[in-house]
Amino acid sequence: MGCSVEGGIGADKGIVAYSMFCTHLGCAVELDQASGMLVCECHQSIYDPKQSGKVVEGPAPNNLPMISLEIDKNGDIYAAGVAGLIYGLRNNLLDGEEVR
Amino acid sequence: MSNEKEFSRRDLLKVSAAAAAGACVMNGMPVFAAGKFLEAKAVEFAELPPAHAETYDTACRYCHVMCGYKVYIWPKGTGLKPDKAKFYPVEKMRGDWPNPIFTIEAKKNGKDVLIMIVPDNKDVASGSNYSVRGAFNAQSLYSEKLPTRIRLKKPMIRRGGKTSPLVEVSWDEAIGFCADNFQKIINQYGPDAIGAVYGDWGYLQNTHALLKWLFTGIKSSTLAGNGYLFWGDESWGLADVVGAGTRSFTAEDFTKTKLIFCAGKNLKDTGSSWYYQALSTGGMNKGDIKMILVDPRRIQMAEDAEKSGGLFLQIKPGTDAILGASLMHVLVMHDLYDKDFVQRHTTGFDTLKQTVLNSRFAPDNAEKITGIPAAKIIAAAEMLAKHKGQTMVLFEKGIMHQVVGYENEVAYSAMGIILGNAGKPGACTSRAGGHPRGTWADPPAPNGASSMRSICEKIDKGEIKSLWAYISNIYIQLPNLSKYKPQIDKMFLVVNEIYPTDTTAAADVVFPAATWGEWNTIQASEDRRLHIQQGFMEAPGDAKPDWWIVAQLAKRMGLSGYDWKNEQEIYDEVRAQTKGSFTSDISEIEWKDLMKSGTNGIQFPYKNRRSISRLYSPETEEVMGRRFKHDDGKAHLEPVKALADFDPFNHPLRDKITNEYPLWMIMHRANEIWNTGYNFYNNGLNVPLTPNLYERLPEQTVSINPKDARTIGVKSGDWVALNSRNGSMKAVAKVNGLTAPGVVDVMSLYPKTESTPNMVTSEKADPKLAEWDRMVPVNIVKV
Repeated sequence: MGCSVEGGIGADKGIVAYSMFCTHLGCAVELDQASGMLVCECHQSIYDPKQSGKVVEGPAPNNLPMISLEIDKNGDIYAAGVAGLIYGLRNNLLDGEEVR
Repeated sequence: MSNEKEFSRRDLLKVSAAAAAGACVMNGMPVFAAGKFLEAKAVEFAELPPAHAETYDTACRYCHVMCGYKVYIWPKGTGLKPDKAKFYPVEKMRGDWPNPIFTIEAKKNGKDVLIMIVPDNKDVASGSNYSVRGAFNAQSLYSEKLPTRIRLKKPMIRRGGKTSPLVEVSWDEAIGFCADNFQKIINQYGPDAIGAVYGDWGYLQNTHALLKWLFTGIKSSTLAGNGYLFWGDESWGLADVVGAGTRSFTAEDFTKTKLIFCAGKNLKDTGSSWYYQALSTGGMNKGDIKMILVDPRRIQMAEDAEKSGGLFLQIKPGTDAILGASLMHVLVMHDLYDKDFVQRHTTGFDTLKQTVLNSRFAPDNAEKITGIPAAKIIAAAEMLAKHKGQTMVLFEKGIMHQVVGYENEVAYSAMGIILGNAGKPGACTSRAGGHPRGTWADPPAPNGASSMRSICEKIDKGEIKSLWAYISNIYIQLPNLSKYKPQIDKMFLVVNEIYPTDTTAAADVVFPAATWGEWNTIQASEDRRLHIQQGFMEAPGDAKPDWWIVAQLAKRMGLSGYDWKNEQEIYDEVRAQTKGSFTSDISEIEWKDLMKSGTNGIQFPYKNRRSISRLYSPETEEVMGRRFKHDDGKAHLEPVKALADFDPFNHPLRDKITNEYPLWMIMHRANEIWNTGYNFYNNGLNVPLTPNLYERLPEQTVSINPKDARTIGVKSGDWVALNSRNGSMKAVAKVNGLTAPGVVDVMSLYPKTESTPNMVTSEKADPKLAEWDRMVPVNIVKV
């Protein structure tokens, strides 16, 4: 990416991924190309992907859960965990089993 | 991403993850790294409410919507454990998913408990939505495990005067010390030497106790603050037209309306749940509802207005009365108003017509003053005409908190009325609302009604010897703090507070107050729903409700009539005094009715066991005997004559733009910072109280147009000083296109003393509204 994001991966730590469920009421967030922000389509919460998903405006009470990524030796990228709790879930585990 | 086999096991993540990346350009603004939240550790609900959990109904205390919340309390360790099911059983788009921040650990009856405060999915007014303010209701409760552990717990006094330390004492000693000093001041200088500044929102029982003590107890008329005469004073322009300042709509109107005309009000940030109802439920985001936004700032609502098929009118601050008159000019000139409504329900139309048809209000001329293109004014008038009787005409403090607030209110009020926007589904002419209402019975001031302005004059003359800061942080809220703070520091200062603040640091007496959730408080939303916010936990230490403190003081001073045993007895005293009130009769609403009303409350005026949902409606006429509050039952358009010679920038009380002070500073209410920011940041100990909110707005900022920024020589991220004729404040520059050149914008009531806008405001106030000008000529220099 040419610059780093805390929690990002890759040579420049610029590859990031986030939950797409807004922490307010679970609506989908979308990348707004003009601003580079992740914006909730329902109630206009705005998250900054360059600040590790920090909520910068709107009713969302939490930052957008960041997906922990890993790169293997072939350069393939895996989702390895979630930092935070995704809207509507009881936990950030899978089938009761901790992801990492 | 690859390795489908591996990833399919993680289908949850697959559907949840949206990859995103971008140039990591920080704009120089102060930010908190989100790193502390990034650890990918297991997160789950420790416990969920069990069947035996205590349950309570409450409503949010912050904005005028008063969203409903359910409270659950259970002993720690006895809750339900999360099972292996991934999803909590909630429907999408409802607030009842128990986000972990909705639950805290606290003590009750000496035992460890968990307290969960979750949006109620049965709440009508909020549409089961919630704001970021309400999301932190639980986090702002008292708990030794939270930053709120700094709550005041003991009364404190300075036994030896200003130079002696504040020491913790018993209630008996604190009350006695305060009563003795008040009595000495009364004996030497008379009762008006004792003043009180209070928050109107500060719960019905508390406000009544203070007003009763001040006006009928010691018989002082020195009262001011965010509230008193709120309903007939701050709203005087609206009241001159429709008879009262009371908000007249009901929440449902935000989905029924066809057009929202909104001036001086960021509804998205300050009445969020109603805005979301219009946006999503009502379909404004699809153009089903249109919006005309009048604001000096290009905020998100401006984009929404344009997307809805409506208009954004970027007005020069202070010129709303001219815009309102110009809109009426077009409506009357082209017979676009509601003739039938005007004929049946108004007086004074001839005066209005004669006033607004003056050529100075023609759109071409209005453009020169307001900065709004004439074509847009005409288009707005046509849109208003197309939706006459279907429009919510809403305005609020952005147009009211000015020395020309009266004229602004009159102009928009009359414009709404001649279009028949009153008392119909989706149609009103009303203030939009700010905080919840907490004052009902208004005993008359013994020596004439006081106001903020007259308190300032009395301080200037040295006539006030003591101030009681009551449910208000006067060192954030009062105008021209640069001038008045040093003078108030010398007075006998009494403060009721829940936290140590800049104001308590200067106090001679500090009374620790119990607050929301700690006893049965009462407030009303601005669509007039009366709520009991049920008490569910103990206050910290020896903290007591404000009404109890007043009662003890009154009795110590030998006054009678303060033997209330509980908050219900005060409520019963208050409701009896509202009987017959056209807009606010709650006399028939009994305590038990409120306790059973769930999170929806009971709407008023309430008569013959019936709530009136919209004021100035046929229903109002049927129940209350007349349509509008004026004795003749009609709306009055005669006040429009105040606009005849109106010149917004040559008002005698308005400070002037000069080469030395070339910029208009205006201000806005931030979504995250409510009231005085008392649950956002503590300026007594300089610590954030809700860190997750604080990190969004860790410093005061000033939005500056790029053209002005070039002239000044500042860039985003620079610390600057804003200097007025009255004082100076600090902020971080944000260079953006929010405002037009010549206008800069800051957050009102930002709770850091050196950065709070009242350090630069003037105390000069509108003679009718008693509101000081929040438009301030300033210069900006890099520091």
